[in-house]
Amino acid sequence: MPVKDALNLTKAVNGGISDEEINWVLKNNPNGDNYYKAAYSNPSSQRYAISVSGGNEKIRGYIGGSYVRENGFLPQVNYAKYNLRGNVQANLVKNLTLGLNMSTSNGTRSRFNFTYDYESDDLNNLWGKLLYWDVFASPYINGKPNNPGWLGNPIEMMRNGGYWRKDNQQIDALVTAEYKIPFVEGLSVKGTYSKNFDNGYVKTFAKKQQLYNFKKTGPNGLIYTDSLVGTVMSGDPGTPYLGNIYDRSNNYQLNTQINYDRSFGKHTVGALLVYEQFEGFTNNLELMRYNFPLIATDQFLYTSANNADWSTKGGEGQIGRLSYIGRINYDYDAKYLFSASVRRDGSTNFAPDRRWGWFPSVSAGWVVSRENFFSLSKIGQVVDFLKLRGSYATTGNDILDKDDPNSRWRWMEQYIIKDGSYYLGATGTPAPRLDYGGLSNSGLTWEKSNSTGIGVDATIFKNIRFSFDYWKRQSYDILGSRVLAIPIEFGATLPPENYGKVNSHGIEIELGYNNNIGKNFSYNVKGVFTYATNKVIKKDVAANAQDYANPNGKTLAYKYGYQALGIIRSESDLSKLPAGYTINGVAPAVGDMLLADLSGPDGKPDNKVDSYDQMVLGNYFGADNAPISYGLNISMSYKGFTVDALFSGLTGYKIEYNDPWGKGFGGGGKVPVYHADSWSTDNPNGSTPKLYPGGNPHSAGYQWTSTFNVYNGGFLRMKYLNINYKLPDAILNRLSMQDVRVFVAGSNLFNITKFKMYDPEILGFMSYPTSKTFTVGIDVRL
Amino acid sequence: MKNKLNIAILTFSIPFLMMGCNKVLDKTNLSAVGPDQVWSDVNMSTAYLNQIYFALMPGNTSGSGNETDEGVPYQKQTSEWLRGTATIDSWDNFKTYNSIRTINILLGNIDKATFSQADKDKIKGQALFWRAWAYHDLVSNYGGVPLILEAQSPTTDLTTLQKPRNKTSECVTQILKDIDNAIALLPDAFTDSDLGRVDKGVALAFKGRVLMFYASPLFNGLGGIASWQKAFDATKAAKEFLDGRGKGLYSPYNKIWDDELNKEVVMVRRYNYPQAVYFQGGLMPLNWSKDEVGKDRPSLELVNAFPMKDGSSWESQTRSYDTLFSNRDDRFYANIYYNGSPNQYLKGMRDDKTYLWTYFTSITNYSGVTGLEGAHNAVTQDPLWSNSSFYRIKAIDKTIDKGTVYNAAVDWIEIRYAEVLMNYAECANETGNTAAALDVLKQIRARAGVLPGISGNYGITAATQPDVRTAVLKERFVEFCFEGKRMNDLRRWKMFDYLRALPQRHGIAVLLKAGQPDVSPLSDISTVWNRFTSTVITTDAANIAIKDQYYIYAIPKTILDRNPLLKQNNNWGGDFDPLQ
Repeated sequence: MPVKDALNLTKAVNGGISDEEINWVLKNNPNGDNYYKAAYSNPSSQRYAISVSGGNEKIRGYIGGSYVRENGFLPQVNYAKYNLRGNVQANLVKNLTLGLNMSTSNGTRSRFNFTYDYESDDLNNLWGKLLYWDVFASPYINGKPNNPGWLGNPIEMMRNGGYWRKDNQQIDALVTAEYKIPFVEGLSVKGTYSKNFDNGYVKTFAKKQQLYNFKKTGPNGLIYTDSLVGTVMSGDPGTPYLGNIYDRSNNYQLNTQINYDRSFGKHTVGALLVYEQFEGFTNNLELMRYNFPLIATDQFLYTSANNADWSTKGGEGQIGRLSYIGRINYDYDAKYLFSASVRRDGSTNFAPDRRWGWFPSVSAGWVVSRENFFSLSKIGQVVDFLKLRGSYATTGNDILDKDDPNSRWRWMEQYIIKDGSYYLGATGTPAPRLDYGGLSNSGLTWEKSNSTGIGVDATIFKNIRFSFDYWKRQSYDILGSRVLAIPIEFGATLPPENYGKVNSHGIEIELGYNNNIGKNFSYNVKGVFTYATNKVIKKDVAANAQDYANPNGKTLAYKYGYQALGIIRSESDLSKLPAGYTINGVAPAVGDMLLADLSGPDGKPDNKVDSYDQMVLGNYFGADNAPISYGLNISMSYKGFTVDALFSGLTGYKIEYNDPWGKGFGGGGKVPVYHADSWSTDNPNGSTPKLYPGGNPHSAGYQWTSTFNVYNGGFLRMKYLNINYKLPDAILNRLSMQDVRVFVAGSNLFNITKFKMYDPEILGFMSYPTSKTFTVGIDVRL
Repeated sequence: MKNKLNIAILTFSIPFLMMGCNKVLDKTNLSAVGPDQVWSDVNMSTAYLNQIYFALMPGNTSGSGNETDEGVPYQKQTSEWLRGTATIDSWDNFKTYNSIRTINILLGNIDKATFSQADKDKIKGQALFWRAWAYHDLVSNYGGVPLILEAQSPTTDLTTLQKPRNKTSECVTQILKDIDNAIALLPDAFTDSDLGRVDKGVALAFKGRVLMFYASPLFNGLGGIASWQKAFDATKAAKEFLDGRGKGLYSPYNKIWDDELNKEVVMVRRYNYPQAVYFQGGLMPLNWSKDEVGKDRPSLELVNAFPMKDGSSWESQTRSYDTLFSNRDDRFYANIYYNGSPNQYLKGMRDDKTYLWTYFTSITNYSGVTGLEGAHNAVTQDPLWSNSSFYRIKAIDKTIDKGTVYNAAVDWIEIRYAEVLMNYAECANETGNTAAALDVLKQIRARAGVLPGISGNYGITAATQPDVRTAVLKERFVEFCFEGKRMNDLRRWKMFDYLRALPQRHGIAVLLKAGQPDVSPLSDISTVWNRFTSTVITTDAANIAIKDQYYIYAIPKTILDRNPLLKQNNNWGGDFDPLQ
């Protein structure tokens, strides 16, 4: 909402701001975006690529390279990567093809040093903070960085607070050898060995910034004057430091396979046997040195020589995987298609006798349109192509908790060595700690899922393409530890087990039409529609859970909360409530959102709105869980011009207003639209509840998740529009070039949505928005 | 032909040859050890025990003062307890059961361990102590809880894991049994690298604390299980044992938290940056701190409770708040920072060559919704000042500044010898030995720098049992302020009516008189005090409405949902009587 209204609202609710101070802001920072403007620059990116390939029958080669550079929306934030790849394929001995593919890349991600979201690449957290930054403190006064108090000056921090820079070097080598066995036609053996080194190197340098204190005036001391009263070093970083962090991973994958491919008349037969072996080793090392006795410079020589100012950390990990894969396919006259495969995978995440899983799959197809009875029939005149498909596939998952490396060892009892010590002793010694690694389950094994699919592909009247798919998936033996099913007094979770079960199904429909008008104009229109849903069959639940908290029988992405019945607009509304009615422990007041008393400890309403009174608010929460997606792709070309556009949307899902700071009404000059029409005696018809200062229990009406702050998240976005122009052959010939194209592209150009407070596809108000990008480029082939 | 076959064999078999020499799936977790290693090596077992210390040994109770009359709330954000709007979900420390399980695992394995009996006893004694500690944490909040004394094994019939609540009296009996067993096993003292572990003296002192808690009016002895006499015997035993070990009151009072491991330290959590960082966020003035604010700002109620240098009470004085800082006892200066106090207790203050000034240059509203409204002085630029004008000094690291606020290191003394003495005094008074209680009060006050006076009674006028009781509680209020003891004192003596009668906590608005110049950063408050006027202000969002219902907390819904056998307390609408 406008800064003026926000400040007046804050004055009315929280106090502590005078009209004089409000007017100062309106004059000096009318949109409240001083910090945002000082920080923001339009992000951009550039990409260049060049490649050469060629060869003869004996030997073929390829060399290519690319360079990408991206500049972020904040100062000092950028990314640069170059990539080199070379490939040689040689047939030096008859029937034997040897190949070597080497590639290396180096990517450097740079940014300023920001303590508060150290590892985040997209600086989401800082973006969100800039949106809500104090409207009084200008970042610079007379060119000097202002000290806005404890918050620090983020703009000066970005410019002069040091940096964080991560180099990622990858070296990959792939050796292949394929031998066609001469005495059996169609039979070949192949071996591949792929080696991957991944080296991450972070250099981080943090230094304090000099900030200036300015005299403040105004009835509440909020206005900064330009009278300088002193200097101060920034609080961040707490201690200046220089650090190096190394991450190294060293993996290989080894494959050998026997291949058989051959046609006998109308019969085509294929068979494949693969053995796959993977091992990975990782290690990391972190070296930090704090304090610079001379001057803060990004070199270790300048850091403190006192070893109390040094720290190191490190760790290692290892992983292995083995697979055997077999596959056969058969087709008859491209009319009957059949394929079957089976995998046997071994994982280090399970006990030796439980680590292997079988995963078979089959699929079959029937191209009906190739049958004479069909092609000669009346339908066959209209339907040019018709194929029926069916498949059944099984897959497995061996990951219990991807964020916890120790979860890979839960099949055995273990005690984890904790990072960090307990400090004791007369002179003070860090004493090591060992923690029980949780109840183990030696019977733990693969989580599985079975998918069945049927589909139809058809072409009608030559130009209309249609396809339809129905799929169904059963996931079972889902890995997890039950927590709620047992009393908290048990003191731990149950051992991990193959417990959960989820069924899902969905459909996909595609309809396309392409045609030409005249010789030079062609167009193609394609629509896509998908629907997907799921149902939890078996999941951890508390013994006495109320229905809303029981996930069984519900969709995975359901959410619960309170039922909002509307704003209490008058004393008479209030007097209609039962005596002793409380919400969040407090009797509601006029202007509050009335939340419904649905139940209580005895299973019936008790006049207290508390955790017993929640209900299911929707089956699909969040854009990632939208059940319906749809899209429309249009492309047209006229001579050398091509225009390509995609509209796509999601619908059928809900989002909860996600804005932890703004939702609670922190006050100040930046108040989200969420509160713009809040009830007050001056705005008795306000559509949202009355606001209260922080910590007030009446705020439940706008803070708790309820039907009031849950919205339809559906949207339709113009994903991209590309315009491409290819130079006519006549000109190309004259320039002796093969191909020259010029293109202009735009992505995320507009979005049609009912929910207006932020982009419903992103996580929340403070998330970095989906960016609108414009690209121009040229592509030359010699 | 043969050559070709060789190529085929080679291509296909190299990988298998390589596989033969390394076991792809034979991997181990490089950051863990197996159970047989843990229970066969005393150092490993001790490291497991250290995890229990890490989880249960208390640290700074920063912010607990906001919930009692020790402090005022941040920006009038009165807690739901004091507002009277708490619900069954407002207090949950059932996670303590995770530690109980950790301890039970140790107790289930230690007897089978392969190292010496003496080592086993030491470890077992500590574990038993911590189990008593963990159960007391729960029982003192909720009354009886399910007593689980062995790590339960998972079963297919999960209902067998559901246990009903034991009576409060059964739980307290078990707590005392564990403490007694611990006392029998623990060494008199740990030394060298083990100093800081729980020894016999700690267990004896804790036993006194536990018995006194349940003997007090709230639980009223639980039918004799925790009588005042038993509490007296236990506190007396603890006092005599610690006396024998050379423990005592350390002087001066303000050095108790600076001079580590001094003779007053009974139970301690040691801190040192960076291995173990002491949390003191929110305690310091924002000027020299960062991103956490508003904790433990002393209330005027606490400030007024400190006696004068001669032992007389503030209430008996005729002086105005303008000079509240003069002639108070040592504890006042060691705990309370007031406008211009000549105590540069923070590195930031010393670096900036200033004292902390909490006065306003103008005040437009003494009762704003979030506190005073007006302009804070610019000598100390603090955009979010204390609502009472006071700041806590106790147990704050004096060496850290704004940048290093999260690098603090102050040993947190959970049990001081002074507590053992004060527990002893209270129990003595309740068992009719008023003279012993008064003797302790005098020792405490003597150490606090109170003058004995002609009568030698350090200003103490109480003589009867009820008066001495009041005197003891008031002395505890000041002696132990911000050490996390006040709420339990208010609960066990059922003093919520006193809180409601306040009816709000107060602070002082210090205003620079019109026409007076600002002070300089190091002005002497004893000469510039008359530039200011002091006005008493209220600091709560509403009058305190804490309910007697809250003396014993409710079991939250999420906990009840997971165990149908748990009954809610009868003060929260259930059937369980926590006072049995």
